[in-house]
Amino acid sequence: MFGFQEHYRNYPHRPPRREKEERAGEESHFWRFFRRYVLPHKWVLMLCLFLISVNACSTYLMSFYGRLVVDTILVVRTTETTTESDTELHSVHERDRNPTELPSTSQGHRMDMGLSFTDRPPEAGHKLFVLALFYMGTQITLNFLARMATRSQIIVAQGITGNLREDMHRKVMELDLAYHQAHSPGRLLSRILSDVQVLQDQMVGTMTSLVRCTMLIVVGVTILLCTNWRMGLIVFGLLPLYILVVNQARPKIQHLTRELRHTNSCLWGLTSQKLESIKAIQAYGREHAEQLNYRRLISTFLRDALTQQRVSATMGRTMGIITAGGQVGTFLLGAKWVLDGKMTLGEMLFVRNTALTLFGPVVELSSLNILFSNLQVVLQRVVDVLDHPVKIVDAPDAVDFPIPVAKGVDVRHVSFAYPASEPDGEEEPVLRDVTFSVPAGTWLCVMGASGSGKSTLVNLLARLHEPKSGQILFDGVDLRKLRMTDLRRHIGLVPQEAQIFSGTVRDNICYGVPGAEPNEIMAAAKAAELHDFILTMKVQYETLIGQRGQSLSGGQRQRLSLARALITNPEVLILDDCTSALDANTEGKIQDTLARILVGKTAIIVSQRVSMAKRCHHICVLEDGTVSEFGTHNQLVGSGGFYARLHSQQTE
Amino acid sequence: MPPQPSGSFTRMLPFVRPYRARLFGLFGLTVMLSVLVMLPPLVMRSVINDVLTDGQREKFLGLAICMIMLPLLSSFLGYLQTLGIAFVGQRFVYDIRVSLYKHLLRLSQRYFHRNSTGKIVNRLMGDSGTVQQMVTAQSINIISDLVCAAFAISATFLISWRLAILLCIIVTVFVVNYRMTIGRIRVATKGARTAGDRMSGGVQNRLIGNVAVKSFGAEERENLVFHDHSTATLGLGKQAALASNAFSMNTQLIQSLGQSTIYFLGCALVLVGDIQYGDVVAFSAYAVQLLGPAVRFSELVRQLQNVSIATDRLFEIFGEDPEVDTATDAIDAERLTGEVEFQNVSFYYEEGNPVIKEFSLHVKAGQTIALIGPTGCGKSTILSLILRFYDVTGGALLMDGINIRDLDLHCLRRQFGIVLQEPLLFNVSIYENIRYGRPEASREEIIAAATVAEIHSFIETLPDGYNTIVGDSGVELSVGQKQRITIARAVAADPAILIMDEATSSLDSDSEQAIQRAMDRVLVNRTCFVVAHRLSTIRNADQIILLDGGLIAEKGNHQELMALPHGRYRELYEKHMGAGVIHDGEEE
Ligand SMILES: Nc1ncnc2c1ncn2[C@@H]1O[C@H](COP(=O)(O)OP(=O)(O)OP(=O)(O)O)[C@@H](O)[C@H]1O
Ligand SMILES: Nc1ncnc2c1ncn2[C@@H]1O[C@H](COP(=O)(O)OP(=O)(O)OP(=O)(O)O)[C@@H](O)[C@H]1O
Ligand SMILES: [Mg+2]
Ligand SMILES: [Mg+2]
Repeated sequence: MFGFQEHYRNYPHRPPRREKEERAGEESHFWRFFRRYVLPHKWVLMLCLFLISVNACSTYLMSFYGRLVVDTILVVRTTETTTESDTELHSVHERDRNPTELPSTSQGHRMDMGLSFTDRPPEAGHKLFVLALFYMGTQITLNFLARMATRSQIIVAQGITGNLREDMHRKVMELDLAYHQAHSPGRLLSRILSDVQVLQDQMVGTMTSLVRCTMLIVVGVTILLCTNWRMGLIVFGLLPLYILVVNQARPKIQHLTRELRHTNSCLWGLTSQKLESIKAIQAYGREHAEQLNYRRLISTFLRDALTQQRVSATMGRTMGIITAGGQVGTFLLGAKWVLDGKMTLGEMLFVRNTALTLFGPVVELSSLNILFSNLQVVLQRVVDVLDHPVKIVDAPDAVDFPIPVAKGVDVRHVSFAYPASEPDGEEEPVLRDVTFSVPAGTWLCVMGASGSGKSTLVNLLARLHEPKSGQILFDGVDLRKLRMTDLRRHIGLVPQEAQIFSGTVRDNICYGVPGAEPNEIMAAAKAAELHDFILTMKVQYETLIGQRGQSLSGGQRQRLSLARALITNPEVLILDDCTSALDANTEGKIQDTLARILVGKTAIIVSQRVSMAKRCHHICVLEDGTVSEFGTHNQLVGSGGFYARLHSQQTE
Repeated sequence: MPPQPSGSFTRMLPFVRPYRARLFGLFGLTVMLSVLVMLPPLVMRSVINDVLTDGQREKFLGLAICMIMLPLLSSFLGYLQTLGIAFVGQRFVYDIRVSLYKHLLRLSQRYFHRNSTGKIVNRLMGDSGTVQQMVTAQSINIISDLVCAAFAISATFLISWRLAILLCIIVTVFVVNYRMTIGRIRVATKGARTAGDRMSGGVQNRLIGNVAVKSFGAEERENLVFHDHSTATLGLGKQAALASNAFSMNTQLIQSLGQSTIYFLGCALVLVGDIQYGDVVAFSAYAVQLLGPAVRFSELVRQLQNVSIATDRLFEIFGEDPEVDTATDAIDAERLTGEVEFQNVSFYYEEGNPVIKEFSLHVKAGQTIALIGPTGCGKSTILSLILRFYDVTGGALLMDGINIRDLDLHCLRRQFGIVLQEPLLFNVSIYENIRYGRPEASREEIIAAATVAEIHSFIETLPDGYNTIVGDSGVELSVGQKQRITIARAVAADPAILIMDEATSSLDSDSEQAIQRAMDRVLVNRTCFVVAHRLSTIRNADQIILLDGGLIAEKGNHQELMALPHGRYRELYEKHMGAGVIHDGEEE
């Protein structure tokens, strides 16, 4: 009944889902989530659930109470007035009929039955009047309680979202570079924002309606069994049918939900990636092709969404038929019993009404079941991030970074490979048995062909990746034994591709030292040869730069990134080819300044330029991940290797 | 009760129009459904009245069949309705998203500099989803509610005009409640959305710059910033949610009190002898039909608020016109020769801060032009102008004697193969990346281009070769490798004009020279603009332009410039290329 045609989903930009579908203890992460995020709000939540239960039960109470009023006050009056006129008798029948004519929500409203200003026995009219007042009072009270309940529900939901979102963010910040390289910003964004939003929208609502429905069903069934057990059993017998239908539909809906959420995050990834490269798209006039890419993904989304809705509509229809069958069945059976004289009309109507109220929560509960499994899919995606092991963490016995660096940096037999793209693929080593040392206070220039592993080495030194084997020692202390915050405070890394934040120039420069003094900021900018340019802008250091620094020229971005590292006054400076976009004059000036301010500091500088290498004490040439040459400028120039060739090419 | 500024909804009309036939069908279906829903009580009434009370047993069977058929029919129609709504709703968002994306791709660079991608994506994916609610079940319910309400109102006036007036007063109270709260809800919702924008922009920023975040150990600080943003967003969201909660609670209160009031007064009227008790009962029933929808409507209000805000945010993007666009009477030429002329071109990004001043240059087809100059002097800007990422603010730029404003934009850009200063790659295979500029290129041409760019042999060493996926914007490659792939991409595009903005800045001299030699062959019969800081790469250019402060400082070929006695080019060249480069004295 719930079958559907699987369709093709493996379009470009939509890699197959990676997350494991069946985890051992699928249930458990729900409970973990529950403990971690929901339990702290238990008091508010309990209040909320209490109020909701009161509200839920009051429906029965009111209708039962209304029944009492009709039976005692009105019946008494009927017997009094029967003899008076037939019309009165008629009106009583009408009254008895009322509940059926109105939707179940209004049952409670009938109990006053009006007629409070009558010339009938004073105590009855008086009673009715008091009851009417009491009734309105109850309505106001209930409204007040419901208000409290929904308010606290909103507050709890917001609290949970806040905590969850911050934890996600914290975790994502903690995760290592490798994770970030494997997960595009757009897709992570969709998890932090979009998935958490879904949880916020549905989590607490689902929980409270779960409680409300359960409450309604339990109380309703009890009432039903007490009043008329045969009718109760019939209603009860229908429940397995619901479960059957839901269980059939659920796996399909869950599967589709998974695909949908995945497509959704791929769409976020695709669009943010493409919009960031809009220049290339427009320059090659590929707007049409990109529209096609987008359209393919979003059609996948559309198809899945439609199928999902069809399956749930089919489910809804089937359940609607069962419900209708149940309602009609009970009514007709009751009617037959009344005809046969086995039951009074009042009793039959009451039972029917109760049964009617009961079907609502049952249907709601079954759709909750689906909602719940969708929530689980979303939760799974959230938990996937939260549970991802952070590989690079502080050792328990971590020590401070040695200041000042006395012995220097030692790299011993370091090898490294990036994880293979397929889980069982072969890892191609990028660095092989790299060994060298940089004595404190000296500069090392790392050179080598493009792709030889220079940036990788630099990332290892900043502990952005962890070596597969071998050690990196700062003053004899293993890098892994250094406290990470301390390590990163004392080494200044300027990555090869400048990363500029949207914000002001000043914010960008003092990123590493939030409270830096203006003169420090200016000193750093001057050292990076950026000060003069900044002064040409209208608001100078307060100039806003857009995302990725797109309103700056390439060289300006690099210098900004350099200034950012220089302001922290690092013990060990690591520069990854960060002057490649500069003209020789500016570069020369920066080199002069660096030589002046870095006296006595240790530096590891990746560069393609001989002019830089000549300023360094040692030069290390990487070739295919191994150290092929190491020595001073004079030693290497004569050796006839890579460096000598480079030297002759750049100086002729 | 018109949902707030109807403007945002009328703007939706073009997107709704294609589905109007289906929508009318849906409306018809809904009307039928609401009538069907109102029938069972009538049937039940006659069962009670005629069969149970009056004992007309012969009617029982017919009525029973009726009772069974009605729910079956309505659940089938309901199924159709749900499917219809799902279809129209999803298609509708699909259309909006597709055309929004199409529009975005047309927008000019300046727009993307002003707006972060996080923010744009949030609108494209988030807000458009909200708009879908406009055509979901809830809003279709309006129709059925309106039908019921119309039915109910006319019925109430027939039964008792006095009670009907009371009912109208109660409905007015609803409207007052709506009017009083709606402004607050709207402000709060809008605020929450804006705060959400800031939050997502911030996260995006941090995800993109995660190396910087890590290398400065700024994770904790960023967490705090996020905490602030998230708290602000949640606070505003809470205000909005609480306001709409108060609204719907008020509505419910009005409803329940209103119903009891009607009932009481109705009974009073019965006592006075004005109306019959049966009328009160019927009247109450219809009051429920009228007030119930009013409550539901209050739920809708919240959604419609969201929808109208989301619509505003979407149409803000639709309202952006591309700054650079094809003129209506644009010329569409197949292939240009590559002759470029700058006539007194001047340009500024921000008024009052000129970047290019009175730039004049004539480039003959097939020439190689080198742009050099200190960083930030406007080299990349000139290249952007040729590509017409921006329109010149003064003077004119001609290609083959045609002002580029008069050329079809696609036709113009088809002429170029570009290597931008920052290598932009897509997360597809290397092969697809190289083929990006000319999808119809054959495999041999791709490999030839890769060979020119000195990247072929590296690609061959990869386990998946040309099918290697390069990761998001090419993270799985080194910077030099990315640059070489973009060079291959430009070469594979087989352009009339090649633009290379510091294309080899991250490469070692070996590869650089090899690429240059190969390029010499590629450049036959092509115009080429190169920007380079390493003077060795541009020595053979036909014209070398030394820019400074937006002005041409020197112009000529290598020999001419070297012949200038105190030329800056000559000075630069001697300082950095000649023997003078060995500053022995400065060594540490
Ligand atoms: N995240 C990654 N995943 C897989 N492979 C990678 C990744 N980053 C780099 N590589 C590969 O590792 C090798 C070394 O890369 P690395 O970035 O260290 O080179 P490099 O010496 O810095 O080159 P360049 O001078 O071009 O910057 C390259 O072949 C590259 O393709
Ligand atoms: N989108 C923009 N908005 C505002 N100003 C900009 C924008 N892009 C560049 N600029 C400014 O215009 C000037 C010229 O920039 P351009 O990118 O053309 O320099 P460039 O010569 O290419 O420098 P580099 O060699 O460093 O790449 C710079 O001062 C830069 O700050
Ligand atoms: Mg590198
Ligand atoms: Mg530039």
